[in-house]
Amino acid sequence: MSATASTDEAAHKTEGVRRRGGRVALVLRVLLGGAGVAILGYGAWGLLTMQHAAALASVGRWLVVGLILHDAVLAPVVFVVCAVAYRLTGPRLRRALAAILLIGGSVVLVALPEFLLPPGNSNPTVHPLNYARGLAIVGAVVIAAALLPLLLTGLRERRRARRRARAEALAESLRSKEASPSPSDAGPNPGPDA
Amino acid sequence: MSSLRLPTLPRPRVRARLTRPAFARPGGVGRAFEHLRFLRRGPLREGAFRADLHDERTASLIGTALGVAFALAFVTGVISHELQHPASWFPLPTRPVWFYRATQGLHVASGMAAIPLLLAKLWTVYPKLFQWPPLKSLVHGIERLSIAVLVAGAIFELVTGLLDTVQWYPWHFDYTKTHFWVAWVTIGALLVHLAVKAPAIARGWRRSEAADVAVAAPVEENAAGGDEAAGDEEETAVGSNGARPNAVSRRAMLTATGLAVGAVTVTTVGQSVSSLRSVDLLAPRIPNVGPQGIPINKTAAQAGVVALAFHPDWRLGVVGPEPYQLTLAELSALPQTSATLPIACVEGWSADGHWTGVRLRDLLDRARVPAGSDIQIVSLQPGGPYSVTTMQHEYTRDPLTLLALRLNGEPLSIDHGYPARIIAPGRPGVLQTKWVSRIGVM
Repeated sequence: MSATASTDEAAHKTEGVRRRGGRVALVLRVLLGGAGVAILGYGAWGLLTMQHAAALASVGRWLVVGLILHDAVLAPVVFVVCAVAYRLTGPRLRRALAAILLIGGSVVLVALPEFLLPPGNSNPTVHPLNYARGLAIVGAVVIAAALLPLLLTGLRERRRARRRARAEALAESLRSKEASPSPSDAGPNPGPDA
Repeated sequence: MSSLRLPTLPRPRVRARLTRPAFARPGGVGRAFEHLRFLRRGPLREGAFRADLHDERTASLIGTALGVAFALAFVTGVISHELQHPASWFPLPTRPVWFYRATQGLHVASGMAAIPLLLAKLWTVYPKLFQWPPLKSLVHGIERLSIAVLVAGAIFELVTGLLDTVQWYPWHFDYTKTHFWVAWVTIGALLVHLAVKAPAIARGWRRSEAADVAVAAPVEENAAGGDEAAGDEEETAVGSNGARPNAVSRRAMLTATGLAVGAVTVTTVGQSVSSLRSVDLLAPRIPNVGPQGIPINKTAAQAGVVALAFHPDWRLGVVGPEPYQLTLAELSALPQTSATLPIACVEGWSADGHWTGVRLRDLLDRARVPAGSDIQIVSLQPGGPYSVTTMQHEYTRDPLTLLALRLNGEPLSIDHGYPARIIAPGRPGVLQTKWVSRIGVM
């Protein structure tokens, strides 16, 4: 009886520890959230007091348009692309395609300003490179790196399949030879040494 | 969502305190969406997303990497801000001389790295964008609003920062101030997000079965909403909570994300890391392309100083208790000091230069400028935020702070600040004033 009591006590204690741990975690989360709200408020206050109204309207536009471009354009487009790609591809090609989209898409986004930048900056040290060439090189490397393993596995599999087919043909021929051991059959059929 | 009519609040009764209003009850507001079910098409459909990779573990792992990138960008951004507008508590380090080169290079590199990370993170959690009902309760609404602030701020910071690296400002606000304040808003929203999601993040870190529970809209067996839309779309609409054998694996997804970060970093970071210059295929700057082998941010023509800088009457004025003026020949005749110091710009590029000139400290001592006082530096530039700048005494007394006359063995080119420019260790490039006309306490 005393044993069960102590087990109960221990269970009670661990339960208490867990509950206390949960409470500590909750307090920490509330503190973190409070700090977040305070910092967010500080930023909003700075934003609202440091600029005049026309600038603020521009800031607001850029904030909202960025959000809309992602949530209402990029996300649905990616949804459709993924849905279509899922139907059209097998698992291996799908993986390569996903890698190309993610890596290539990131690189294109990072390089995009170089292409959209309106001419007129008379400073020749800003964007001095041939970015189309750079992007082509990076794109080629990314696509090659993503597709090369696919190609290699494809080749390996085809070779394996051919070898298997040859082995099967050989086994078949041996079996047929055993079934009808006539000397005339031995000629055209390649032996095991061939 | 604007057309949404909230259920009317219950009239206050004696026991009103006990009955929570509809908008505060879990699922209370959600019921209002029942007659909007016809909107449940496309990504809003029940089970529109396969659970693969839209799970807590993937979201936590990519989110952690993104959080690290944002934290790095934020801290280095605040350092950059403090170096330019120092608060009294902020120490101004002059050693190592590449201090700002490192922090600002890290700032831009972490921002670049955050672009693929943000894309991958948003992709992982984007079924949540199409969750149904879109609004469940007041708390749920506040949480979604905080996510909207976080995403808007994150996109804003990355886009404006990226455009700044190519000196493109297609907006009507002050870039530096706005980039700074929106960073605080974004980090605040990020902390709120971490506080809300802490249990999910913890579950995601633990490699357990619980982590594979989808964050996608829960899939119900008898998908009532999906019935009309079933049929040919069924193949893509299949929902299953476990990862499927022929889906892209989490490891492949994380590897691709890591490779995307690597690709973006390797092709741009050469603008501040000299050893990676040869793979610098997409960076807006090349650290050895420019007059005298160093880039510039503003040409003399852009600053409108060509005539003034070449004018034979140019004198350096040193202002203090005993002011004086020097011609370029007189400056050149003073004891010269050489130092290899980086010029490091807020846009992220940086390059080492071998500078030769007169120690600023010696010039100020001759005018009897007190050692502890900050000085002003006036440029020939007519107007602009950096035509008059302040240099704190930490820099003015440093033996490596020069009024440089030569760069890499030649007289300064006009675009590098002829006849004389400031170069100080560990300072942002915009404060390394070119075309100096006066220095001292004014």
